[in-house]
Amino acid sequence: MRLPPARVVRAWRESPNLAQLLPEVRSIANAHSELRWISEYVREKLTDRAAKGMKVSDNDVQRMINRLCYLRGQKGFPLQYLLGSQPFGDSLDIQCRRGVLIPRWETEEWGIKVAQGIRRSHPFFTEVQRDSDYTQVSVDNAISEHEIQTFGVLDLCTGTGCLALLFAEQLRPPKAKFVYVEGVDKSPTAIELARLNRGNNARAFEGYGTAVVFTTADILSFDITTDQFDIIIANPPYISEERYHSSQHITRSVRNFEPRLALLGGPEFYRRIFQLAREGEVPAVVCEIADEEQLREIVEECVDDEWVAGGIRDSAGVARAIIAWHNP
Amino acid sequence: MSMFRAVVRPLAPSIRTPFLVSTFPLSRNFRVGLEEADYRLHPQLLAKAQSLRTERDKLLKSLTDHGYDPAKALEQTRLDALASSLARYEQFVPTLDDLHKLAVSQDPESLELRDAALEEMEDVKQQLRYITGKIKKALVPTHPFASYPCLLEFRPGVGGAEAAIFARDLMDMYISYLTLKKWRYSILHVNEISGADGITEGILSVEEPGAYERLRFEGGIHRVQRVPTTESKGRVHTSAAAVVVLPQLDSGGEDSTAAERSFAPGEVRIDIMRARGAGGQHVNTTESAVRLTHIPTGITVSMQDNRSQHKNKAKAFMILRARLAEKEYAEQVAHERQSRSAQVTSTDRSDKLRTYNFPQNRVTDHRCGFTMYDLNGCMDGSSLDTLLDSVADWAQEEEMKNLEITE
Repeated sequence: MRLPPARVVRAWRESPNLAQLLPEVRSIANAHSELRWISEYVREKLTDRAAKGMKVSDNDVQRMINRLCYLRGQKGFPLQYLLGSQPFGDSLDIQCRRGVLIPRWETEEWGIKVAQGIRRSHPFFTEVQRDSDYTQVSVDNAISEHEIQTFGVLDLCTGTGCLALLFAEQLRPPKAKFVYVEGVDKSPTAIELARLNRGNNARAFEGYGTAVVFTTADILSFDITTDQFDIIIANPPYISEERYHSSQHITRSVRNFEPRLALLGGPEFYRRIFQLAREGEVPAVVCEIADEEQLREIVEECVDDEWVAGGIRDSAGVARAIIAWHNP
Repeated sequence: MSMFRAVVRPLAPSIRTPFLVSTFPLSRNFRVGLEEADYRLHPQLLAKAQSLRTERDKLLKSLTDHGYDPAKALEQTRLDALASSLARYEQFVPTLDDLHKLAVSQDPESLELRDAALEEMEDVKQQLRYITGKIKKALVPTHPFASYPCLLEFRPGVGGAEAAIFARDLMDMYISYLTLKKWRYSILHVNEISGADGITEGILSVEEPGAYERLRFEGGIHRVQRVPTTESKGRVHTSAAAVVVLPQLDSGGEDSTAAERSFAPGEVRIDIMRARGAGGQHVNTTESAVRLTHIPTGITVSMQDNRSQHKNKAKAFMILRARLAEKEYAEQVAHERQSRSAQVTSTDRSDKLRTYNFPQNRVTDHRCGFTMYDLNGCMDGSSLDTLLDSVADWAQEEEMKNLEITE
């Protein structure tokens, strides 16, 4: 849809940068926010530079703001690529790079909902370890004991590692218990970035018995042993070929800048994820989905009598995740 | 004889002649007059203090009988101070009575002792004044949110752009005050107006426990008189900005959804300024604005500062909770006040509580009448403490007055 010229004029009167941003961000209010974030980023960055002894003039600040606004508004660069990161969860700051999907707020929302739900109601987190339990652990069964004392989370198609790190942040194991999170992705670029993010955000889960591991593997062709995990979470590519090419469904910025690999996909992923869950007898699966239609398809195709399934809506009212658990 | 009168008059002004003095045992029956009020407790206050002491004894007993309980122990230490003051008070009052009897007696033997007795009386009165003050302070109920951190909200009042600039100045003043105090704070939300250096809304979170107690009398209308930067003819304008102080019930750090969970499902409507369409992987929106509407009261909170929607939501819930707590407390106080006598003065929310006059380099607090000719010191936070101290003293006195009226 074309921008109303009156809006462009109004924005231009306030600041040329706002008008520059409009083609991509559409509303003036939103352009205001983005301009503020861009300015904050530039000031911080140049102050850092000045602190290192480099010469920085006011002119540099304005020039850099202009350049970023141009790239954002005219070229359609995602803001997260320009600023380098996206805040996620309570304290995570996820680095974003070309070639890896940018974390979405919907993912953050259901991720927090699910993680908080587990932490509040799963017996692993709610049952307090009694002192007498320690004495019963002999050397022989120490290893199996350790397995019982570890809550395993498998994050498939992890991308930036945002969901894996979110669960590591939110699921704080009680004393003498552990949380093990494994993130798997096909793309080596993504795994490299995920490891970087783990290092940058280690603060969020250090001091607890939490470990996060990232592995490169194509889940469609590799066999993954899943029997040690208590939940599988995934944000697999779920945009169909047809939708990928219609500008009604997908925005220009996403198609031009974000990787096809992380977007184009569908039922084959869900089939595989549920197959893995069945093989390893993983009690619960949560996956992000496109909409209600897809939810119905997945339930029909992948969920059999042994499973119970439901949907999670996001704040925009769209069915955003499928949650399924093994019916004992 | 003249000396004699000088002693009696302040105690019982109606009694003038030695004849009367000898017939009435004055010291036992005197009414609490204006001058006595500062070294004698009102009988009802005394009764209240005594009942608190018995309560303390009970607490002490339960602590020894049923084991240690930190909350009870804290309460007991608080009452201990009151009890020891009360004990000293009860010890001094008979002494004063005896001395008074001695001073007013017509017995020729005691005449020579009168001088010494008078001197002693002054001493005892001095002591009593101090002790009564302490007891009264202990009797003033502590504010239920006194130990909490707080939120400060700034909004321009009348005066257009100048008011918005002043709101910014006020916010800067408290920020430098907090920096000087080395209190942790964070700017939760700033809504700047374009073109000028003003704000239409600003919210500060002061994370220091007890900050609410220190800053709670800052809430109200702050008036400024100066030549605004927007004024071209050099005229002095009067404009105003409002400050709202709220108790912060959630720390906002450790558990981000604690505030959200304190509401029943369906009690709060969450509006996300959403992007239309499929969402998820299909779009990458940066819109993160969140608006909460508390349905029973109609209070709304919008938050859009952070790039993370989750954080905006958590902050909005925190602010909503603080506003509701403040509202609830204000209603409770108003209700209590209605049921009490009409003379009770209000210590909070009085209009136009302070004037910042730039041409005269003056700050005046209208409640306690305190004036300070150090505007710059005030605005950069360095001498704000002096002002806060005098307001706190005034508030304490008001509370004590209320105590006497209501008892």
